[in-house]
Amino acid sequence: MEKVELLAPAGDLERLKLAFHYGADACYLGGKDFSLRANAKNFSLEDLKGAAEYAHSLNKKVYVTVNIIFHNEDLDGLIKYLKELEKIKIDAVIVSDLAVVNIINENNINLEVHLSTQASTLNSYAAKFWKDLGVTRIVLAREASREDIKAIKEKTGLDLEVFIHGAMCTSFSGRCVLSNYATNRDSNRGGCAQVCRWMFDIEGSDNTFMMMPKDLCMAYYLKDLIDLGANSFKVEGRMRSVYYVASIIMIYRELIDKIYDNTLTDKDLKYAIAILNRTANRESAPQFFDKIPTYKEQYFNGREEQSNQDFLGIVKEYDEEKGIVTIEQRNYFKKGDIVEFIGPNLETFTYEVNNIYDEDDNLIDIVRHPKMVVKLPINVKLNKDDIMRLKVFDKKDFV
Amino acid sequence: MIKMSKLLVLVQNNTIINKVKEVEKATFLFPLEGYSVGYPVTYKLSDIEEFGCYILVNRVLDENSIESLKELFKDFPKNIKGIVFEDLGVLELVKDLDITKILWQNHLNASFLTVNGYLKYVDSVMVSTDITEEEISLIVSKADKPLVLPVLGYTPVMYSRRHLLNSFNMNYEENVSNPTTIKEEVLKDEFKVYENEYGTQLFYNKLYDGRSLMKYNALYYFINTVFVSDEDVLSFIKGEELSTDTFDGFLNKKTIYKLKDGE
Repeated sequence: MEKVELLAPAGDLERLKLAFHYGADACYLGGKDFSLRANAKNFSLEDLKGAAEYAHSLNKKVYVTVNIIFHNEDLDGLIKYLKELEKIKIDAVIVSDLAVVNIINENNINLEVHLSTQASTLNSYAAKFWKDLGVTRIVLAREASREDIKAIKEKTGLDLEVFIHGAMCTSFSGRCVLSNYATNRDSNRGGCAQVCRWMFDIEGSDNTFMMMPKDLCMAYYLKDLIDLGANSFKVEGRMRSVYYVASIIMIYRELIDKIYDNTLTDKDLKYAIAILNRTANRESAPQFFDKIPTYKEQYFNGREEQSNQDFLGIVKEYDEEKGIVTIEQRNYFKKGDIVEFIGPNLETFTYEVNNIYDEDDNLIDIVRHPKMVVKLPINVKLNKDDIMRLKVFDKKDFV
Repeated sequence: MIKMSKLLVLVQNNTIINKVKEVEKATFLFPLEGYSVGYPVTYKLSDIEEFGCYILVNRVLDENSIESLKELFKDFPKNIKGIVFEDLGVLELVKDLDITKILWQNHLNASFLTVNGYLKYVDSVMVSTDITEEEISLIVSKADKPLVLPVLGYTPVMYSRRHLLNSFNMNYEENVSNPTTIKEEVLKDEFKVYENEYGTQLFYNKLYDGRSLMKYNALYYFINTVFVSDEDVLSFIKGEELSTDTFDGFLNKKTIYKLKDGE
């Protein structure tokens, strides 16, 4: 049986490389045009080519989002763009608009087509409509339940991609234009201003009305999803930080591998969920998998947590001879801090910051400047792109 | 020249049918109980007596719901002329029925290629409310079949599977009414909110008047009567001024989606 795919968001090339490094099997990303998240950095055609080549060199995949709802004016250049994607051999396009599917079919463009979650597919009949048009994979609506997933898989045999982690729309995806009305920004062409996360007065109450859902976290249900026939586990977040991508992907990589190895414990899960929630800085829930979410799965007073600054630095190089690691700072840290190092080829370990040297080998106490390069003496071999973060949880405390 | 005989009027009370008929010939659309969201008044198939009317199925349907709808449609009433629906899965259910099929996916049908793509499977498509008149004009001119154009109503702007009002009431132990109105705290935009068992629908709280679209050929001009007074519906049909302030949506206002540096 083929192992489920771990699919990561990649807002730019740095995140893509990091996602692959931390264990993603595939990345989804957007070009400069025709993609939701219009205000992420996104990829030029040249970048896309580089991303595809890089992924393929690792035997991994890239999927390109062409998932806006098209207006007449957006159709200009679409055929040319799709042919370019074909030429650079991206592994699939993720689309939501029938026009794109038809253009691919009518012009014999050799591109695998995945149906975006924007199409809000929740039943096998709708899935079959798209299958008949040549779509090979459905990215299910985030509202899909256990029963929906089971039925769609059994009745269509389609590849199914399910969201396992990240932010939720309040609305069915694609069925919301709050942003258009409140800000004139077109949510279905990548301009969503996330109005559903704003605060509202409500008639008949002095309390503030909010609609903001907690994040999705399916860590407890990964095995169930595998058994239901899910082919790809998708992590949301093309606008998220490099730390978010690395940390979340690393956690899910470990969970998935342990499921297949039959070594996953409840302690692993509890620790993983603590890290996942801390990394996203939000609470999370399985949302629609087994029930319709209630008031417990959403926020009413905004997010009460303070933004964390756990991500302290990223490893640039390690001098094995001297036992010195070179770190590029991401958040303030100082002598005496208890930190931990994480990485895809590293057993996570705890370290107390003691001697800190600047680039000129001067001893310093505080690393306060963004992207400041410093050196730390460490006797554990570290690798480029390993991450240093504040130690918040200790796995041994979880039972 | 206004072609009022092509009106498609959503029904939210039984009296509106006769009131409209006294003024103009029209076709009526009944939200189907159990399969529609956003409408306080819904109808069972067996309760719809109007001849030559349509039913509305505007839910995104989960597997159990579409299977139960399939059962319901096994005995499809003869008086119902057609269906307006959201979920593409419904196509399979109605493909062998000799009825008019109209696709109304809120916000999703915004280009002529998209619309023509769907017209291979359905008889007509409701055009998006989120695009300009210029865009609609081009879509209408290139469409392979006559379309449905929304001309009056509070525009549905968000559809959630969640029970947003019930959650609010549960959290605060309150009992705000359903439907109700919410107002954004900074920009002051208002939205009407209505929730039923199948989810919550938000409507923009300014009445959309798109009568300028009635110069274009269409299968129907759609009047969404939810929250609109009968008097305003009738005034609209008569070409009179409405008692409620209206706006023309995005007909003359283009949305943006890419921000310039610094925005």
